[in-house]
Amino acid sequence: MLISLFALLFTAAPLVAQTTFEFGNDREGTSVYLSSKSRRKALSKALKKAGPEQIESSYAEATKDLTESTLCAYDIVADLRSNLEQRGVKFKKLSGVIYYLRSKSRFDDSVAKLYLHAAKVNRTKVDFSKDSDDVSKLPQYQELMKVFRKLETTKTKRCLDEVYRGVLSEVFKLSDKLKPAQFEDLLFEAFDANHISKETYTGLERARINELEKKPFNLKSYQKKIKSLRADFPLSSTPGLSDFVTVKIKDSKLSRRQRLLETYDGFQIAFMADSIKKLRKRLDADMATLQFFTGGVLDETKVLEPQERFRAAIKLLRMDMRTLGLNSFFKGKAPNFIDLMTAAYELGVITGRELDEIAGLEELWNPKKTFLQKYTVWVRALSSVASLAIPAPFGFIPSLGLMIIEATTKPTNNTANDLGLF
Amino acid sequence: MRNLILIVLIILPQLALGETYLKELPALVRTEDNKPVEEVVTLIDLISNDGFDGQHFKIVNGKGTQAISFRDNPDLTFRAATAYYHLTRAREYFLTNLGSSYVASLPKMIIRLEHINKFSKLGHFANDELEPQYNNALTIPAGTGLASRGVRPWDIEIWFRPSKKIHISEIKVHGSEAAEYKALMKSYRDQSRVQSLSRFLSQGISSMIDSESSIDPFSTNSLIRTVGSSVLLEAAYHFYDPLTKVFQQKWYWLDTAMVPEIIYHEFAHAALSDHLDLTHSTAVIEGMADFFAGQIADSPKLATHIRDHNTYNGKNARNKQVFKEIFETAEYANTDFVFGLLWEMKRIVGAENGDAFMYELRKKLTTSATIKGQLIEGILQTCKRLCKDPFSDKLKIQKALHFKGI
Repeated sequence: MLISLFALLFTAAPLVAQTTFEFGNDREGTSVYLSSKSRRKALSKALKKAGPEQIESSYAEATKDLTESTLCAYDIVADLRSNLEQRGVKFKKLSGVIYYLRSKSRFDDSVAKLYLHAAKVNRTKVDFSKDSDDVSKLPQYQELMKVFRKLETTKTKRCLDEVYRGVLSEVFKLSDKLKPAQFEDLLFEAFDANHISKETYTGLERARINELEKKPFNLKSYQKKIKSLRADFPLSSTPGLSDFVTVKIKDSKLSRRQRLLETYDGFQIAFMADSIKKLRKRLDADMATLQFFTGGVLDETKVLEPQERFRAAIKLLRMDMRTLGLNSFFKGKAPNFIDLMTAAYELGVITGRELDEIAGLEELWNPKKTFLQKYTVWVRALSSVASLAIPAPFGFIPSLGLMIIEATTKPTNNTANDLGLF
Repeated sequence: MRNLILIVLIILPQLALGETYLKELPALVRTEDNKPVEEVVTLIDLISNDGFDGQHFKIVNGKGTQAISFRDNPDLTFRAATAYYHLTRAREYFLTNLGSSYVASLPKMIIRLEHINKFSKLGHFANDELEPQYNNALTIPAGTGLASRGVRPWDIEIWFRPSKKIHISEIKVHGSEAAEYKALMKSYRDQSRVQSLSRFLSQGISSMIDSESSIDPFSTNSLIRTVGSSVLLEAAYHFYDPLTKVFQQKWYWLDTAMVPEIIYHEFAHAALSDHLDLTHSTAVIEGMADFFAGQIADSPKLATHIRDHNTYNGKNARNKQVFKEIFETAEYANTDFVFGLLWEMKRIVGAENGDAFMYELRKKLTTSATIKGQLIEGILQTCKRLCKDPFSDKLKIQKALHFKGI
């Protein structure tokens, strides 16, 4: 009996202890954050101040007792700061420390982004002596204050963004015509009337200033997404680290993988990866045919030539891509080719080495324009003006010049022969 | 095992044939920077100390059977020495670089210089009365002979024709680029004519209905502008051809036995004949032979900078050409499109694997292989077997082919 009790205790021990979370980076090459000189400078400055061991041990301590329910970037960053301070190192900004930890692949760019944002939120200055409007005359004022009071009595520890979104949801449920400025006043009133502590007010006010309601992606949802992706699509081999997924998207602050994880859910990522899986199979096919039937009887079979097969595979991918955008699972999101590639890489459908090659296929339907192609419109316009200024009979010279330029510079776009089917 | 067979195939004939000789003679060779120079070279594997009769090649004059003697006229011996030296080099390339057991097993080849007869499948040499051949070279397939007419069987031979100056007007030249330019000029001329006419008419009408109009199409200024620009354009259009003729080369000749890359090209035909029959001349077969000629010469340019023996422009693998359906036809078999394509494929699969890749590729080809069909399919299948990263490399290949217009 004693033995079986011991046995039960030992088997249950790991369950009780809970899993510790490590956001190790197993996909991304050079961080999107380390492409700028100023950030690399911030990293070396942080290293000079603290040293790698102090940073590493402070972070390890900050993340050691995490469970699925206590995952919170704001708390981790606050702990990291205090652990560093306990070691005698004080930082005004934690970004250099976060860049360092990212460079050592302690986490990926998505987690780094959450930490950087959390550090910014945690540093936001809060005004405790506001000259706010009187909100006591608002309808359901008492019920609204009750929402805030409830915060102080709740025992469960929740992350700042979740608490803030919960408060917002309850407040706007009670008073759906409330304006943002009135919410600010209401929050201050709750603090001023001692319904919430200074600490709670500080957190909520920081969340309000930084508009956390607009940022649904947090450490918990990140961890949940990665966990389910890895469980549903176990990797047969390590796909390696890729710089392709850490490239910053044009006119955006996100890298390609950050966008994937923030924009799409697990299902959508799986759908996108599947279209690349199909493309891969089609590109690898030894033969493709077109068949024509009349009344159920095969009339003609046309075997595609290798390059027709290649272009057919690409056309089918583009068709799949458009179909995905119309799929109700995608809720109006229209994935682009890069999203598909990043999703396929995330699920190990393609390796890091193959990424660049497949990504390069986009050039086939979206060729890069030459300098001349880009500026021909301007050259034409200027030539027309010039032809007016040049006296007779030489007015035609600019247009003749333009014709010669166009004739001697061959376009680099799709030059596939016209006799091909695809 | 393959190496063992190769050693046996190389050593056995040497043992059987006994003593071999070396001979130092002047020949035409290329310098490192691809310039042709006359240099004394050592001819190896000779079995005669009197003439160009070796273990693997016998150089004869025309239809003759006796090897050209070292004491023959200097011009002919110079030619024979050049052919013998470069053929030996080409053979060694296929044995050493590619371990070709087929080349090792090839019977001794007769090389005919100054040979003007056409080839006949039955009679070996076509009748002397038939149109004599100049300015080219060919590799002929082995034949069974015709005992009833006293024609003995023969093995694979390489024939080098004598060079002869031919006026350019006698040759049908496919000047596709010139034709494109001419067509462009024509369309611009037609467009300008319509524009000038419509402008003249609209200005005429507006000056008639509006007496205060500032535009007078009949004014000297307007007439100079309209007529002047038209005259200039017409002159450019009509004088294009005569001007081209004035500056264009007028005579053509090609001394094939004196151009190392042509010698390599012809030997490559023989070396590839285990899969590519010598019965046809197609773009794919010629391109394959060009590729190996380029590999042996270690240059993407064939038969260039050799003006004393050749007015032909040569071939350049780096020419940026876009595929045209007409390249599949026999008439265009000798353009450098396939050569350029294979050279680019070598870059993709890695220069160090290039020759092994192309040599393997021959197994996927037949005499009737087309560029768009079998050649590309063969390249892809060979890549599946030999490329370091088949999937990525195949994509690189297909992308490159797409931008070449295939």
